[in-house]
Amino acid sequence: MPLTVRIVTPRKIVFEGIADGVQAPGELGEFGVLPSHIPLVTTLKPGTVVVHGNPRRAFKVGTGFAEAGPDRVTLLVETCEEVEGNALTHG
Amino acid sequence: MATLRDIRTRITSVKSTKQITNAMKMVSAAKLRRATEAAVSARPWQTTLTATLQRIAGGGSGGGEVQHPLLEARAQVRNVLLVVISTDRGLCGGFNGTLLRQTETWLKTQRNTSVPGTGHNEAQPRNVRIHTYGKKARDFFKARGIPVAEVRIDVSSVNFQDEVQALAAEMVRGFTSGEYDECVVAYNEFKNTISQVPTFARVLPLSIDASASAHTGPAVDYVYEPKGSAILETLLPLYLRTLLLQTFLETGAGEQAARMTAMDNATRNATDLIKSLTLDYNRGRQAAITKELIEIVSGAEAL
Repeated sequence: MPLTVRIVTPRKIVFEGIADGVQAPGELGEFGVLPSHIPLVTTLKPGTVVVHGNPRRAFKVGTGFAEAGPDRVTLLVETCEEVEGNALTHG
Repeated sequence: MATLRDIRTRITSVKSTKQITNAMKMVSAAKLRRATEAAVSARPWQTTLTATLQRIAGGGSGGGEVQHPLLEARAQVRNVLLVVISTDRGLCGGFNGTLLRQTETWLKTQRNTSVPGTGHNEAQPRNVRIHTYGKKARDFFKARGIPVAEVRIDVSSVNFQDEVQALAAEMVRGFTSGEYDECVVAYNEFKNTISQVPTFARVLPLSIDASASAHTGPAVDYVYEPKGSAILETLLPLYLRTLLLQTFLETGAGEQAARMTAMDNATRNATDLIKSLTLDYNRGRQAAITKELIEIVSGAEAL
């Protein structure tokens, strides 16, 4: 069961799509969400969010929070910008 | 009676006014579309944030009643911060006027509300500190000699975010330090293109309707990281910023809508005026021709 991922800022929905997993910078530490994750609400600190889909995409995000469930992840962040291409490799 | 030339000059002047109002109408229509788009695209963020907060407030593993300083209503409201959001430009009908007049009335009722004193202090009227956004509000309060604590102008969609950030920070600071017991925002709520309603919204203390979450499906036990009230520390300021952003977005959209309506009316009035002036002009012209004819005919008869 894939995850439905949404990254939302006050200005627009930056990303909405299907992915196998998401990595995000939680306030208490970096965490990953895979399908069948327990329902979780956590705050985010500025950092990089990686969406493991096809293709893999990375976003630089500001503060916000994330809500995860077994089949979906919603990231609400105040700012978000996509990181292009190769910046991922050492992420 | 106006001479023919006078009428002709007036027609020309009304025509150019009409051109201007018509152009302004078009511009506002385009800007309105952009402003509503901005408001609409902010909606997913708001609904998700509100839903999450309601879920937290509704209990779950966070456990029962949520408590946070920003949620606590004060028993006695002595100091109020009023933020008035107006626009920088006029020519938008009663958009600013209605809001500002209502603000004045609101201020009066606030000042007439006396708060029982604490201990041996006398009961005193409520204190209202005013922050304004936009030139119209600034001019209004200046003309009436009402002191304003802070004035911000040139707030556009470009720097919304920064302004909201600063305002929210100031509210949280003032509220937690006890400087204000309540924060109220006066703005025009954007109902639709033809109706904007002046609204006084209390933004602090925040109120989250926990009961609303009862209807949003089966209760899921969420894990909160960090736990309970610590997560509110981040989410509540975020929620406050969202509320404020909303008021700015609605004012932006409402301003354009109000201007569009006002300019549409002005254009229509100009068209009517041109019509009646043209009629007057033609009547005058014919009267002159008739008079000349009579003169010629009677002159010929006399010979």
